[in-house]
Parts: sequence; structure tokens; C-alpha cells
Amino acid sequence: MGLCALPRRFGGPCPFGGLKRVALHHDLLHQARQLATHEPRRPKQASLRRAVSTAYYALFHLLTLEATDRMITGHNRDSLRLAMRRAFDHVGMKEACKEIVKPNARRLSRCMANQSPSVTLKKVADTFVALQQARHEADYDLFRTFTRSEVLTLVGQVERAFLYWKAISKDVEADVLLVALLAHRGLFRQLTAISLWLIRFLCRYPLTKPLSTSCRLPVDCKP
Amino acid sequence: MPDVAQLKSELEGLQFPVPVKTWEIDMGSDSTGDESIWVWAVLDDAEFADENKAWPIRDQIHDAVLNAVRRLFKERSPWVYVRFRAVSEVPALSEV
Repeated sequence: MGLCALPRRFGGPCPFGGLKRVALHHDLLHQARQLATHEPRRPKQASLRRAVSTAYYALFHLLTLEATDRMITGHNRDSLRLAMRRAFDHVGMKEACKEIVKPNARRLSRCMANQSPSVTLKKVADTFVALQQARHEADYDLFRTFTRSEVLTLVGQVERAFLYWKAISKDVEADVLLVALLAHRGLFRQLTAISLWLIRFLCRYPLTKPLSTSCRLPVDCKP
Repeated sequence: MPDVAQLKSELEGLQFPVPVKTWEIDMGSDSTGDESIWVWAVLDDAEFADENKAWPIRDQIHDAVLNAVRRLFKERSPWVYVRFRAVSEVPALSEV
């Protein structure tokens, strides 16, 4: 595992010699598959449940890392980035993703120059919802029984979401998703000061280069 | 409000490139309190052998289930979680 992926309370250099923190989500995803196939014959519920939970956290860490790395740049901002990653709340992220998946994501499209979210973005968001729900059941619902095929399919969904994310990560809609994950309530109900500031900031200083389309968010996202 | 039996009947009328052996359905609230439906499509074990080949079919089943729920529940459509299981993992079917 990428040891430096572990939160470092006070920031500073990696004590383990510079392993990159970006490895965490990849390592978690790899570990999820290992857990799901750990017992060759009769998988233990504990292994399957941990696999589901681990796959969810792989996607969670991918998205929160992307968001914080884009919103806060600079080599001397590690502590701030880590603090910001703690600000993401799971329920809010799920609600944001549900809004994106809904057939008529009108509020979201307002923030993307009236373009609808792509199928690819919806698949990433749908996977987040599906995995968070599965993780909730895996961790808390003892009435549910998981099967290996079911769990491997869930892990496969996250693997595909990683690829989908890579395909759209430079697009404006990827930035909108990341903002929504943090400021979903403001973004979807009524643009609050923080979400409006974030969107304006993102448009002035794009998170990804080059952006595929020109950004007209401040004009189209008036509250 | 449609029930599990109605949804199961709707799903059993769907056609796919591979047969869905049976549908398992559950209704309730999800972790965020939204009305939800869980649908498990039970497929032959062979359909899980090659994951890359399996995805187009799983996507097709996923989308068809979503559309079926929207048709049935209309504007009150709940959130849908579609999952997949192999026949050998479903005791009632594997014993046949």
C-alpha cells in the first residue's frame, strides 16, 4: 500500500521515503478484488463485506483527492488539502451523485452552459451511489447476504468508474461533479456564496488544462 | 403504488441476449432514507467467467430494469439498485 496515502496529521515530508499518496485509491481497488477472491471455495461474508467497503473507499478517495488537488494547489498546502478531504461527507456526496444521475438534471446543466451531463459522468455518479449503498449494507446490515459474483460485479463497477473518470477528468463536467460533491446543497438547490465562489474560481483558474470547452459558468449559474 | 409482484412480472417480460434465470426484488429505504428498489438479476454461472464480455449485457439489463421501474412507477419512481448473482449462489435454484 502507498503508505504516504495515510493521513499525516501535521503534514511535512513522508516518513517512509516518498511513496506517492495517489497510490491509495489504486491500492484499495486492488485490495478489494483480492478480498473478494481470498477464499478459493466458500467465500467468507467478512471477506466479501470488506471487499465491498474497500471498493467504495477506492472511489471515495479517488474523487476527494481529485477535488482537493484541483481546488488547492501549491506544494506547501498538504495539510490544508488533507483537512479539506475531511470536509467531504458521505451522505452529501451520495445526494449530489443522485442529482447528477436523475434523468432531468436541470440544475446541474445550468452549471455546464446548459449541456446535459454525459453518460460517462452519470456512470461515475451512479457507481458512487451504488457502492456507497452497498458499503452501508456490507458494514451495517447483517440481514443482507453477499455473494462472490455480486461483489466482484461491484468491484468491477468501480474499476470501470476509474476508467470513465480518466476519460472525462479534463472536462468541465468533471469539475462540476467535484464541486457538487463538496457543495451539493448550494449547487443544486440555490447557489450559495461558497459554491458560486468555487465556480467562479474554477472558471478563472481551471482545474485541468486544457479545458475542452469554454467555461461560461458564472453567467449561467446565477442564483 | 405497484408492488414487488407487478415489477417481477414486468421484468420477466424483458428479453436479453442471455437468459435471466430469475429476478429477486426487495423494496425499502436506502441509507439516505430514499424509497428504493433492489433488483438482483440471477444469471448462469458462465456469464461471470469473462468480465469484459459480461459488461455490455449487464449494462443492458441495468438500463432495462431502470426503464421498467420508471414505466411502472412513473413520476414516483424510486431509486433502483441493480445487482447480479450467479445461479449457483442462489440456494433455491442451485438445488434444482
